[in-house]
Amino acid sequence: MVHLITEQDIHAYVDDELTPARRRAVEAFLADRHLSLAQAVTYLRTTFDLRSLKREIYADDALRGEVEALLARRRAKTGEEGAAPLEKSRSSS
Amino acid sequence: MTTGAITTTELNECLPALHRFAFTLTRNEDRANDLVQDCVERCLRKQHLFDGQNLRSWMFTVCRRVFLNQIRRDKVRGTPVDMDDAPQAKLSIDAAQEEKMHYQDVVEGFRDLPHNDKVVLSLVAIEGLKYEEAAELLDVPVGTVRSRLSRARSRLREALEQGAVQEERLSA
Repeated sequence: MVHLITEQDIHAYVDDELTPARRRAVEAFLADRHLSLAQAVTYLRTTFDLRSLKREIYADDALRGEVEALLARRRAKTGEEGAAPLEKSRSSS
Repeated sequence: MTTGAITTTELNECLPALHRFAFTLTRNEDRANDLVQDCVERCLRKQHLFDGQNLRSWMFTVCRRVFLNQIRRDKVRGTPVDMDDAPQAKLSIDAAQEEKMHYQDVVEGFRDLPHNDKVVLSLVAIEGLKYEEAAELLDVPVGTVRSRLSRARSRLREALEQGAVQEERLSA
């Protein structure tokens, strides 16, 4: 079967947004294409890097403030109470 | 030889692609080989779970999971370099140094992104929100989340590639 895989499918793959069938199609596509594969895994690796660097990334007060406000709004909507606020960066405290 | 549901011929055919996948994830030849090894072992142990459709895809899934588990286990940034196991201490120091420079490049590349791209990348990549959730919070269509993510990652990738080229020049 021929699957049309777009650039956005590759991002959705990295972000675990695909249905199992679509994920398999993207993985089959990536398995045969070195360039797309390198791109997808680079994005995947960047995600891991950003998570490891969370403290440094949130040293940007404007960014941390906005993300914190958005997550608080989400918690209020879903009724989730008492979730911890984002860790404040040491370098900005 | 057949090993249950998976034949060794099929397995061998998957290895080059699997190695490329592992190398890009780990950015290190030794670690990539270890990851492929762990992945193959796991695939053979868990082959009763293979649906028989596309071995390569399934191995990618397993590889991604094994790598995620390693990252969760490691807790510390990146993969620590075991000085005792390293064939040459100098190589280990270089690897650690390279890792440090890479993280520096990621932080700097991220810092140069437009604010809106930083927010969406933080929500999805760091906080793990689904596209729909991020779109709702930001009050934008899901398509906007997708395009901002795509743009942000491409810019970051370009910045990292430029950083890697400059570092190569400096070390040459």
